[in-house]
Amino acid sequence: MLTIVEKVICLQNVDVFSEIPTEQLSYLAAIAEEVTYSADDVIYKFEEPSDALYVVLSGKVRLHRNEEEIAVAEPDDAFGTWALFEDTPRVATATALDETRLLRIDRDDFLDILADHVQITENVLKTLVGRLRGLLERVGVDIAPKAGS
Amino acid sequence: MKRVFGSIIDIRRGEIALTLLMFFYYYLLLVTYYFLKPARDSLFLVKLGAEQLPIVFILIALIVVPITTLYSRASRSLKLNQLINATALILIINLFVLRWLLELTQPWVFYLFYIWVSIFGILSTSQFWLLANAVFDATQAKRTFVLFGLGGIVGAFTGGEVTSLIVRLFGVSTENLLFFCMIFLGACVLLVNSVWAIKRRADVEVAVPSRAKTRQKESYGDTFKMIKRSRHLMLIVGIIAMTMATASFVDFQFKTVSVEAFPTKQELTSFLGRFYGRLSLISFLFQLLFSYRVLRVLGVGGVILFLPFGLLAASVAMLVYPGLLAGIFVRGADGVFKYSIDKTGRELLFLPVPLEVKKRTKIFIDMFVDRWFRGFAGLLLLLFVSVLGFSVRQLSVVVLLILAIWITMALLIRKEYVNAFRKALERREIDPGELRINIAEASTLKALRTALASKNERQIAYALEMLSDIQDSEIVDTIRPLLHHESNEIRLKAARVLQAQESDFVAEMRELLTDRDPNVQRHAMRYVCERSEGDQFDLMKSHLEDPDLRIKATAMSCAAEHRDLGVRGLVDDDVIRQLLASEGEDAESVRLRVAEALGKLNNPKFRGHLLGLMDDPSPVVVEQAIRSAGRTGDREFVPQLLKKLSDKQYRWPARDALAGYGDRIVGTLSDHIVDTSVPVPVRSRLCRVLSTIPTQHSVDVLISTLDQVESVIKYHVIKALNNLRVRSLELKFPREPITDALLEETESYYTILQILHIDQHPDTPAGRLLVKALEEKTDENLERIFRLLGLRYPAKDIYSAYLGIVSTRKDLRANAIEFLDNILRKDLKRYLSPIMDNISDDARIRRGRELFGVTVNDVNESLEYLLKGRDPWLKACAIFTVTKESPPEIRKLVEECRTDPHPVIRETAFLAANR
Repeated sequence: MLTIVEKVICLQNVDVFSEIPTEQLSYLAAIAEEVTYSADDVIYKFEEPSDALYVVLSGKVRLHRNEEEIAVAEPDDAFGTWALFEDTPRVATATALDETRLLRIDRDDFLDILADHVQITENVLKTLVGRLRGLLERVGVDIAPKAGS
Repeated sequence: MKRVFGSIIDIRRGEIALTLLMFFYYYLLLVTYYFLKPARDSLFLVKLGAEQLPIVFILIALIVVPITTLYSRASRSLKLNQLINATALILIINLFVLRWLLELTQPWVFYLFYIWVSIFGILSTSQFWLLANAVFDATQAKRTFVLFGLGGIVGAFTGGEVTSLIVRLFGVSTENLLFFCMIFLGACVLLVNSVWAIKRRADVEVAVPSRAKTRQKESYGDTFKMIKRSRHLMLIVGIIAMTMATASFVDFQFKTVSVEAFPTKQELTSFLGRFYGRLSLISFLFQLLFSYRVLRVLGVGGVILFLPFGLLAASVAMLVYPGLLAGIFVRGADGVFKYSIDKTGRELLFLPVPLEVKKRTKIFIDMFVDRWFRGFAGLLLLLFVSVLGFSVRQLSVVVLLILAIWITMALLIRKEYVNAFRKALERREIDPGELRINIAEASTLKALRTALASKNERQIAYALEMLSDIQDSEIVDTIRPLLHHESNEIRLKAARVLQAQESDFVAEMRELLTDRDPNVQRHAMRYVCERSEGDQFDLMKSHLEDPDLRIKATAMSCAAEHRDLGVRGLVDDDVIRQLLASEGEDAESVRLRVAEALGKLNNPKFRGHLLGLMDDPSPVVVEQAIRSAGRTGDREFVPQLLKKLSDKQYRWPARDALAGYGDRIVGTLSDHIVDTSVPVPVRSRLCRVLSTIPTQHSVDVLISTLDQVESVIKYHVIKALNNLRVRSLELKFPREPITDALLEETESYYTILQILHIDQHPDTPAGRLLVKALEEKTDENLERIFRLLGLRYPAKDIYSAYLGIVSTRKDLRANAIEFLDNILRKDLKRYLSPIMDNISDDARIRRGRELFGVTVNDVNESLEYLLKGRDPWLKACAIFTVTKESPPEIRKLVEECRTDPHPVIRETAFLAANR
């Protein structure tokens, strides 16, 4: 079992948590649960309700839609991030390729943490806004009229 | 009368000095103006004659706009106190020069003096209101501005009377009145600076109100187009134009007959002084005693006809018997009505106009319509008097013609007003607060009655909201059917409006006792108990014994808030038990009302019921029980409330309930804040609770916890102190403990900086985590340092400096450093300057070592420092870097951490020890 500090080291690599100070990350680490899957185990299926984010500790996870491979998550990679923010169905199936250890953060627990720790909420929002801004800039969209529409 | 004055004078503690200073400032300004006004008129009339007045009217119209524009620009580049001082100084010098120029007896001097006094009148009052808006917030303004208005009227009266007196009895020459004015203006400067000093002490930024800042962007062309599109606005502008034009004619007539009646300068000055002073007083008394009543009876349509019909009568008098008496009537009618009832009427005409349009139209009218039409009247006067040779009597015919146009427009606008009002009501564009003040006006009521018959629920609710304080027998029939409306909100509001009426509605309210909405039921029952014949005690008792549990619960709610202790005593254990045992679909609503009533009853005998309801299966009942527990102020509930604070569902009501205990609970809360066995989120929430109890005790206990808590909680403690400082200016923040906390933060900053600059941190995930945690800690240190500085220095300034220091922009950082260098005391500067200044980290570390004598030379020393420190997160990160190769003394410290109360430290220590 990983300790809180070890979990913090893993969570630091998750993009959406990148602005959160390490001490605040330790609160998230406390709700992160370690789960293990054998090779070919399905972690979640396409169009299943989203309920958690995963970080790969060891092993590999294939993200695919039917036979079409979208990505392969390796150690320190996170997948299913948007499950923390919306409950739309999964856009891909996640299958363990090897014996795989993952950190799982449940959405309800995450929202509880956000409610308890304003600094975490602030930093998550900062990252999301930065990401949105970058995305819009990349496609050349002027942010102001979008915000008003 | 006592009630009238009671409502006028509502000054709170802490505002008295400022209000009195501002009162006397305005008083003196008006005294000065009413010294100058008769002097201006009499000198001009005696030396140049009334026939020159049209020219001066035109000149004023031409000059005032550029002067006020220039002034407006100056107001944007200067601080308000600087602006007022500079203006006052210029005015005093002007007066001195004018006094000297008057000796020359050249005609242009009297033109200059006339125009100068007119500009003085506009500038000085506008400056006063700018200052008043800057030093008082909106709530204070509502209370104090009425008093200032009163000060102005008393000042005008005093100025006029004293002028008359000293000229008549003591033979002071009209020209020498200017010397008095210089003294008064000098006193005004002293008053303004005292006002400024008080505001600075109160640590409130005094800025030029935004009006001056935003005006520049408005396009008057656009405003004119906007006015042209609205018939209602066009008529308003037309009426105001006619008002201004008539004023110039009337002024000319009055001054002409005055100078004929009082041909000498001294006599004329004395007469005008008395006349102007008394005119202000009569105008004020008319406004105070009659305006509201006239408004109620005649409505806005009638009120706006008051001035033109008054002038009509006086002008007929002037036509029939031209002379001083008719002159006094005509100018008196203008002076008394224009600034009292007609002003109210004109303001009301703007009521259906959306706020933004209203603001822009008013500015347009002040800047252009007012001046242009005075100037235009000057041109007409020039034509009639100088070219056509009209006498004062013949001018009355012209005045009557203008009045005919004016009255026609006033009659047209009555219908237009109701239409505009109806539309605005549909669009919900009227400010209910403003409307409530003016609602008694007849046509407004008519429009609201129409809105009540609408099918639109929002519109009905809105109209009912506005009618909530109004007594009007005619609205009753419209409202009665609304008692059966399907919307809970409308039924409740309709009931409230009816309850405010003098007539009896007991029968209607009885029907509402079984209404499906508990709020409606409660309002109905309260009314029924108050208005029914017979003993209230018996009535309430019968309701409490009612087999219908909804009525029983409502009766309990009403009894709980009854003034009579006997009635409150009717609620007993049996009633509560019966209600709590209720089942079915109303059960939750019944328990909810019981929970609410128990808070109001505040009877220790029922404590058990309330505690039980705090664990009710229904969240709404629990929330109400928590609020009721807070309302009782009973300390027995505190443990339960603290428990609820950790429940995400109830943390907000629990926080409010705890804050409701106020000062009595401060000690208990601080005990929990320092208790490390209480979860961190709960402790931080307790800090927030304390920040809502603005007492010295809260400040003192929060400060006392500063050296007992770990850094994460310390942040919340300091934040709570910051909030308290903003919340109440009267709280004292003792310097010594704050300085101690500042030095502790500073020492921590320097030491962590030393540790960060040790090159031997391992390049492993553990080493990198420690470095990152240390960097974050220096940022947190810096924030806490500035938050603590915000307790000793103006908080807003310190916050701006903080943003400058953490900014990546060099200019902002330089400004912040310069600012801090100027405000920080020498003892603090010594410690803080190296942190802020643009020096290398090595130089910073050296300075830190000199200041605190703490030296960390290598990794092992840094680990020792962190492992012995009080920061749990740094401790955990430090432990995580320890390996079996680490020195024995470090491993021993890690071993000791295996029994640390903090779970993360304990867990990491176990891991490190087992490596």
